[in-house]
Amino acid sequence: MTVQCKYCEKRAQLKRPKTGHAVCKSCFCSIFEEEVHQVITEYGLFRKGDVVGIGASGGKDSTVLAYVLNELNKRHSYGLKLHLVSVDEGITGYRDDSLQSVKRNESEYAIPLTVVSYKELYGWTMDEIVKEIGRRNNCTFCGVFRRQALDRAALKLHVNKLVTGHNADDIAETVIMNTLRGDIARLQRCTNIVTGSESLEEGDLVPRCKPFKFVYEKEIVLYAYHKKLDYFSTECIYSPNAYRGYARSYIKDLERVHPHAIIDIIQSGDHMTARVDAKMPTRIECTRCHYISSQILCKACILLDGLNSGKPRLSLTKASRPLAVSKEVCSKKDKVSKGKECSGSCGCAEIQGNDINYF
Amino acid sequence: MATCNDNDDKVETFTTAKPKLYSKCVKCGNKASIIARIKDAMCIGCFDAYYVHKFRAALGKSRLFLNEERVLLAYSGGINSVSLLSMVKRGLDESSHKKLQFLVDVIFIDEGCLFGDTWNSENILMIENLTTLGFRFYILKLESYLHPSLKLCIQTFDTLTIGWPVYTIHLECEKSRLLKIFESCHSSNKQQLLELIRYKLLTKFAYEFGYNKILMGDNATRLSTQLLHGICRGKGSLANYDITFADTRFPGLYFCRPMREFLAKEIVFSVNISKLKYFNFPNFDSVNRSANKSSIFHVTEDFLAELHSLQPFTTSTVFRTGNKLSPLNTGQSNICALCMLTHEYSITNTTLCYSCQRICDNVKGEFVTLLPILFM
Repeated sequence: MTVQCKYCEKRAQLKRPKTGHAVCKSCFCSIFEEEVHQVITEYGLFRKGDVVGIGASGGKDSTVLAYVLNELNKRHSYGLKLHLVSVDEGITGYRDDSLQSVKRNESEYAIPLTVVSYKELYGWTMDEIVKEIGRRNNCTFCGVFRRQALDRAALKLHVNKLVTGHNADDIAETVIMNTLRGDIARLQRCTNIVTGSESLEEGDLVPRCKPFKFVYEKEIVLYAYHKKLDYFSTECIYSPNAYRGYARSYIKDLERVHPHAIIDIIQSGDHMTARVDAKMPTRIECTRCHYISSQILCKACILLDGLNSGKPRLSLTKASRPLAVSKEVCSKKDKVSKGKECSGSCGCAEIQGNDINYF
Repeated sequence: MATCNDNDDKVETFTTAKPKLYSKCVKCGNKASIIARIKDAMCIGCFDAYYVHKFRAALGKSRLFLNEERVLLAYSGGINSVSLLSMVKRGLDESSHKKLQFLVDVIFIDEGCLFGDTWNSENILMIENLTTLGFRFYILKLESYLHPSLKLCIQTFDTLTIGWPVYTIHLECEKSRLLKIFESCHSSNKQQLLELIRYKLLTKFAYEFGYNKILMGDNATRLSTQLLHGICRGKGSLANYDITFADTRFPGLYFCRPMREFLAKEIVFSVNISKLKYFNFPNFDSVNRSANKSSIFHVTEDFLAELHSLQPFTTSTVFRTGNKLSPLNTGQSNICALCMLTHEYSITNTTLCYSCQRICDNVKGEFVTLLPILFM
């Protein structure tokens, strides 16, 4: 018995993971594109003439995102100027290979590509960091650094929007993780489709958006498969021990029981509000690199400090940081007063110069 | 996807400070026999004091209970409600300055109709147990929810009557209607439906008999599972209600959760130490073991339990996350007809919240026509 496509006369070739409808290949692809288009128009993600940076890792999400945006841009004449932005974390056997596939995409879709590397921004590659820190918690470094790296690349390229390939599964995972970690501030904003400021002023970050907020991971894979897209599909060699793995397998279990659970979690995340008296971090600027931060030094600078001082584990603990910075400042102050010089790498000069009372 | 075990490297588990064998009690320094919290070993005496103090503190902090007020205690015979009842009993028996100032009546909801009406020796034992404690208690069948007057359905044990409860009226018609609702409901939603009806029945009872506070035995482990489960069902904006000390979703009625800060483990310890008898009655889990991976609640329960065994602070963190959420405040206009919570939609043609709407979308045909029964 053949099952007919829900939308046309043809034979159905697949069952949509999101809805369970039987559809044929061409209908699936057009529905997929149409849904992304709907999200883009409904939320007003882009304006005519925007220069849009696509965070491209070479994986399935970003490859499909680049392809779909390119198609929709032509089809619905969004008037966007697309630009691929890649971050080279310096992971041998993973990122170097995936960057090759981004480069192939560059020539195939005729979208210019810019690569920024951890080595040039921070002086460390992930390989070196893992050698230092071990296999646990290395995702903290990679994640924090990547976020900044993308922003820096976006500012350099004068991009007004940054799109990332985060899909519904990723966002649901983040909601669960933030619940498990009790991170109420992130819990409130992690499902926002656009983050960062809309009106771009000087010093502000480039707004980021996630056009795939409601797109299931499985559908992205199916789309890439049916469109025969060229992507790199290996999991990061350093990630198996990440905490996210637990949330990930939980989401997959839920999806098996109830495919709609993923959208339900995002719905939950959209509507969760913190109590008025709940403690919230305030957004300030890092005194060293002027990146947004909730503390006197941003997380990237704290992590770099840890790496440069040879005690990277110390920078991961939660409460110790401000204390550690203060000790550092005090000891450096003493040293300066005793006539010994401070290299300036610790940030003590900036902290003293700005005269911030942070206790 | 790769899990920890796929890695050739040493599997890295989360480090927790392992308590030494024969370690000392953190309070008195004597030999400890219980590890109640992550690394706090305690002797039995200190654990008991800690347990009682925590319970009394939860009640005291709420400042809800008035002198001589009659309060209802929802008793299921399970480990949580047994512990709750014994704590209350101890509170009432205390010397004058420590004595609990309110009066407690107990209600037991007989859910036997869903599981083949197996009223057995276990139930008799439970009634014996309750009567020896000296509380006034009521037995109410689940199906009496559909009966217009609860006063007729109630079975009261005011005196020392021990034996089979004799109901004055037959509830056969109500029973078959209730069973029909459960049959048409999707298997993964049955437990939710049961809990909903139980809540509504308690509410109805409290209204009719003039109680305005109901003590529930929910513990932190269960509440945090419920919170995460709520999030997975799109109830995020309402999640706070499920976890607060006093749930005020029904006007003029407080569902109080004095056990909300106890981990399931602590309750088991306490019940075992005091050698309390608890009872296992059939429920959806015991009837259908294969359901373990077939409902969101079970998947969530397994997930949290596994994570908690790796990181012993998981449950309390989830619990505290729930505490930091705020209940939605959009006025009284959008109250979901099923779960009675204020929901997020301002202009919709539906009377249900997102999550209850999802349940109704998923049910098989007949349930929708039976649904209005629940809107009482």
